[in-house]
Amino acid sequence: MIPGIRTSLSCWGRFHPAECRLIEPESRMKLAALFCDHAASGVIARGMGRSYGDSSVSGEGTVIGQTYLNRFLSFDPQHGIIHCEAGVTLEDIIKVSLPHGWFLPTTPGTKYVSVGGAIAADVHGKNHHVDGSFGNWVKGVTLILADGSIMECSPSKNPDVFWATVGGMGLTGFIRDARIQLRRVESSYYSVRYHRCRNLEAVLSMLASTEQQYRYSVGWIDCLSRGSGLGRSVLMLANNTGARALTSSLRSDPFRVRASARLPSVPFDFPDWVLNPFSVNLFNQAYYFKQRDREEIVPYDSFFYPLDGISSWNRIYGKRGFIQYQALFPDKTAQTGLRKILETVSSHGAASFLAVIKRCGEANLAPLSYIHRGYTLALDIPNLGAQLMPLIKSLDEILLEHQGRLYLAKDSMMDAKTFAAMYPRREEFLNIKKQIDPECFFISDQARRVGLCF
Amino acid sequence: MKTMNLPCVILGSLSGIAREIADQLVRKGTPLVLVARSAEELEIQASDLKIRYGITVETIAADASELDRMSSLPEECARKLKGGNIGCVILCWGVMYPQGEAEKNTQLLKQTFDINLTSSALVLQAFANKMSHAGGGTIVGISSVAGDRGRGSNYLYGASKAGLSALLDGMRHRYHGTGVRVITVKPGMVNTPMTKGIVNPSSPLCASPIKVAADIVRAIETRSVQIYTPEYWRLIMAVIRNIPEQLFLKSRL
Ligand SMILES: Cc1cc2nc3c(=O)[nH]c(=O)nc-3n(C[C@H](O)[C@H](O)[C@H](O)COP(=O)(O)OP(=O)(O)OC[C@H]3O[C@@H](n4cnc5c(N)ncnc54)[C@H](O)[C@@H]3O)c2cc1C
Ligand SMILES: NC(=O)c1ccc[n+]([C@@H]2O[C@H](COP(=O)([O-])OP(=O)(O)OC[C@H]3O[C@@H](n4cnc5c(N)ncnc54)[C@H](OP(=O)(O)O)[C@@H]3O)[C@@H](O)[C@H]2O)c1
Repeated sequence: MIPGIRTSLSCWGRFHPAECRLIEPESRMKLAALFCDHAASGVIARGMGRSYGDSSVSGEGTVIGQTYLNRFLSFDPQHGIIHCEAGVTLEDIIKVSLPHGWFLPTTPGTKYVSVGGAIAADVHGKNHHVDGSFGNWVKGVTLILADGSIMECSPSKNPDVFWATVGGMGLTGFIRDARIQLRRVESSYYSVRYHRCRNLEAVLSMLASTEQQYRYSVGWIDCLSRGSGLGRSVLMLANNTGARALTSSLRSDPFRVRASARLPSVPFDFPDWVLNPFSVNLFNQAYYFKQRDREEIVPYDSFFYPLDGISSWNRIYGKRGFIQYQALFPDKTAQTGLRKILETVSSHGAASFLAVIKRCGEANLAPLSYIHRGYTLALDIPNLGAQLMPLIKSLDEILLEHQGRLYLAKDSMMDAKTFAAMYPRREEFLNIKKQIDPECFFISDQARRVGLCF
Repeated sequence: MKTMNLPCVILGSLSGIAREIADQLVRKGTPLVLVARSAEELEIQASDLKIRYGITVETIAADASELDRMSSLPEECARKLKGGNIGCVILCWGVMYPQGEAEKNTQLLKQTFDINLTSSALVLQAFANKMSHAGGGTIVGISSVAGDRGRGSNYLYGASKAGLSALLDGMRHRYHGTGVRVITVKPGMVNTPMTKGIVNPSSPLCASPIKVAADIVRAIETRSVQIYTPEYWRLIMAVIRNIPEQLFLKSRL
């Protein structure tokens, strides 16, 4: 048996800690040995633990950490193709590629995410309506299957397994390494237009009507405004700044990589009373009125990763943790669905610090990929104790009534029935899994909860 | 400092601490020869450093248990460097088996001394000979606080490290004034594969390999001869060394 450490693991929301056996192989040989280890069962890969619930946690099982499996294998600066182990973070990729004029094809709101996690959750960014999700940019992966054999997968080689792995939450196998197509950029800056919208209707129509004009768009919603102001937001619409539009001082170093100053951090768990509706209301009001409609050129870091400046910000929710609820509605039900979600949340006084709305484009081929055409809304909800479950249940019902769905990377509480209703291609996924992992070697607490196992 | 521009050899370059040393030295532009036993992993380490920092490093696959090969390693390194001078060698390989297992398994007991002490003496002496011939160089050996006093819970490993510390201290004495500098490094508890499951990484006494590597690189750049890393271990070990034996016997260290 390979020695591992028994440790309590949870993800970003710190909501579902569980005792796991954590193994961090230092080499390919040690990684391979794990698949011959009889003591290993209930195995799941773990990236940076930036999913919110229990996607990379396996209680009483084995978690494979990738602390040492984070090495670059090749980089082609001419075509912008990077080949790396799955433990490499998006931050690492930016550092390597941006000086050569390449950036991530799409990126979530934090750069402290691993390539494995980005593929397994098929993450999306502010440009989904134009570029689709992360999986669309993966040229191929080397997958270690449950029996220890190695399978090369790409959209043309073993495509079924490839697409099941994209968005497959680590349940098809262990992604050892991946090749990713990066995007050419003209600079590391973004020209952002800030635009205030007075209610939900205005937000949706603005996001839809600017789709062609802006590659990147996102709205920050003030969840506490009600009545005719429900959904009041600040939109940020952006494109990569062309070299010529830069001021001369920026032009001298157009591909500047910002040193990761993780300076201010939240050093301790905030007491529970800090984040009450009153303080959140103040925060949201200040945020809305501070933003005048204007245009600005900002570095990529402040545009894509505004929260990365404060490390461990999840601690402001205190020890009891929090969950994130990310709902996706198709175009035709978005307006009513989103309205009901916002109303329900605010009537529960479930203050949300952050609520983010994004436009989504076409889905890819992955059976479990979350995202398809419509709008997605993400909100933080502190752990309200006994009140939380009923609130989440009523939100889930709204989603189901409006053909909406939840994002596995953010999910902490969904049950199997709800999941099956939201993900009609679940069976198709499980059939592929049965062929390559008949004994369900790969499993997480989330998979057990939502029924992605057999 | 001049040393940093000359090539540096890292023995056991895939160790948790050595990986960080390699990273930090490459960022300073130091040419490297990486020595470790897995050719496949060495190749990955080299490609990673090349892609991150744009610097090509040399590699040699060698196993410390090939004792006969140890004395020719400096020559092998020099060949990789096309005969260039070696500025510095950093010995990072080492093994630590659970004390209880090593007591019963003679193979593990022997390995502990073969890798931590015999191979180290063979290889470092060969480097010292070569460097003193060339007129200078820096030899760094990673020993351990465990070598400062034999303790019931870990004395086999501790004895091998005590031997290594004596080797390094003696070498420093022997080559004093010749241009060959010898640095003894005594880390406390470090969060690496060696201590997985033994040391709690979130304990305040457990240092990150980044910190330890930075201390080692600084020692090479400055005039240090013997460092504890983190530095507070100097105090802790002074206390532990001075506990009277009768009292010590009753403790469970
Ligand atoms: C502040 C913040 C903002 C975010 N913004 C966005 C956003 O805008 N858009 C978005 O889509 N997501 C967003 N996320 C969610 C995040 O991008 C995803 O949860 C992502 O999967 C996290 O990656 P990770 O490396 O932390 O992996 P983990 O959270 O550790 O794991 C996530 C999943 O990946 C699997 N996995 C990891 N490595 C491998 C591997 N080598 N092989 C197979 N499976 C593997 C795990 O098993 C698990 O199922 C955000 C998260 C945070 C904290
Ligand atoms: N971690 C601590 O708390 C601590 C404290 C004090 C001192 N130290 C010392 O610091 C040094 C570095 O250790 P670490 O903490 O970085 O641990 P580590 O990651 O376990 O490194 C040990 C290294 O030694 C190598 N090795 C073992 N047997 C070998 C052999 N026969 N031939 C070649 N290489 C061999 C291993 O190579 P493979 O990768 O091929 O297995 C591994 O890379 C060691 O000397 C250790 O004793 C560590």
